[in-house]
Amino acid sequence: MPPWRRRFDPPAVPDQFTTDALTFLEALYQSAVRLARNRDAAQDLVQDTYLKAFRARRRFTPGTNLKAWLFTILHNTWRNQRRDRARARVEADSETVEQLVDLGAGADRPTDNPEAGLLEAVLSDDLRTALDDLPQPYRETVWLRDVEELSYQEIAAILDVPIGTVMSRLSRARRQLYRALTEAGRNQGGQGAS
Amino acid sequence: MDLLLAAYVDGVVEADDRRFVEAHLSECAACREDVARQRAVRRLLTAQGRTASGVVPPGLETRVAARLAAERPPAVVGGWGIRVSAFAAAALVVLAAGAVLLPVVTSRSTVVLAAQLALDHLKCFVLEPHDHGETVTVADAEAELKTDYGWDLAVPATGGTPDGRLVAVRRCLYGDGRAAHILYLVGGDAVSLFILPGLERPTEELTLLGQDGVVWSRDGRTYVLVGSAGLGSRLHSMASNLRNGAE
Repeated sequence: MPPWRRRFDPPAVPDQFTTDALTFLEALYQSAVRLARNRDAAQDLVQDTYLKAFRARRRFTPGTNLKAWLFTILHNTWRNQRRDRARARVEADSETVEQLVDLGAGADRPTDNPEAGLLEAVLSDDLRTALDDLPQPYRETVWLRDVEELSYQEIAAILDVPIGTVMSRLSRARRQLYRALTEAGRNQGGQGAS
Repeated sequence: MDLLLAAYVDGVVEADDRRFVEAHLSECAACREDVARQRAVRRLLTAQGRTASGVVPPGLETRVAARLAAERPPAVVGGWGIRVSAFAAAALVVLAAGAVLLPVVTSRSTVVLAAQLALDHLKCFVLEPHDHGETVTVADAEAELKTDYGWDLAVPATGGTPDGRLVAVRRCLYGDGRAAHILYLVGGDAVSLFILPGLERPTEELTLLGQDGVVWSRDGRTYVLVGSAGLGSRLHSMASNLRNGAE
């Protein structure tokens, strides 16, 4: 066999873009789980996101924020999937959702904890539930800000909403989470190991 | 106020607004409470948000990487780890097997010249066995050219770009060995500089076999710079630098 034949095997060496993009796999997956609220759907969402990102890689300017770029694709992909699935369903629009949240808030209960605002260590399950109970727009926003620590501008671009909307959603999301978590904590209290 | 409070909690509120918010907070207990709660939620999410979503399923990364690898056109890894499209490598094998050799000095066509040299560029980088540790200093290269060709030629150290690295000097396969072939690595891309005696040619740029070529003549010699089309404008700026005697 001529010596050069050996070199015709395609190698499995990933290119730089793929290597860099995969460093965000964990972050994208965990965000996808919160978006889709389903692990299998989250995996599919992540794979679709990476495929789209790879095909569009020449549109990414090296040196700019790859994480934000990938998250934009993740959220676009997610929006498209939901749009396809929800065609027959009526979905509450953002405004209605926000009104409902404010109404459902109820009066603030006086805090039992004299050090206002502190949250004790929360069980993963409780946190997950509290997050998943948030309306989609709130969940997305507070996740990108408080977990992924993206900037307001980046979040506004990723979610395709004005910065003002990002900020008001943040306040409301955090308030609702606080209520949900202290409620959950209260229900846990005095039940033994927790 | 909702908008400003979120920004205040995140510490990204502007100076004027911050004074406004702080003035309000000094008078409004409900808002102070709200800020404290928002901060608590934020701390919790930053600390526990990701882990609450569970671990990444094993194998997901492998599957994604494999899927992306399948998107790329099949490629050949040649000497020095250079990636060459399978098409170019296949064409090269056919031509080398057919021993297509035309004397360079009698060729009138710049296209034919460039094609022959592009083939040699590919052949040297893709097909020939090489030594991974092979490097050559500028002094060695110049000595070799003096010995083999009787040329007093300054060999460009980097090929006209800061991250170019001189890797070898060869006698070119084509043209009865009358062309010098200087091999560079620029990042992960292979670039060849061929130097031939005589032949006044106008400056030209061409693309063949997925390789870009720039041809020019100066001081009684013809220079041909060949590199992967993926180098884009890099190759042309290298050619300009070499032409203008930047080195």
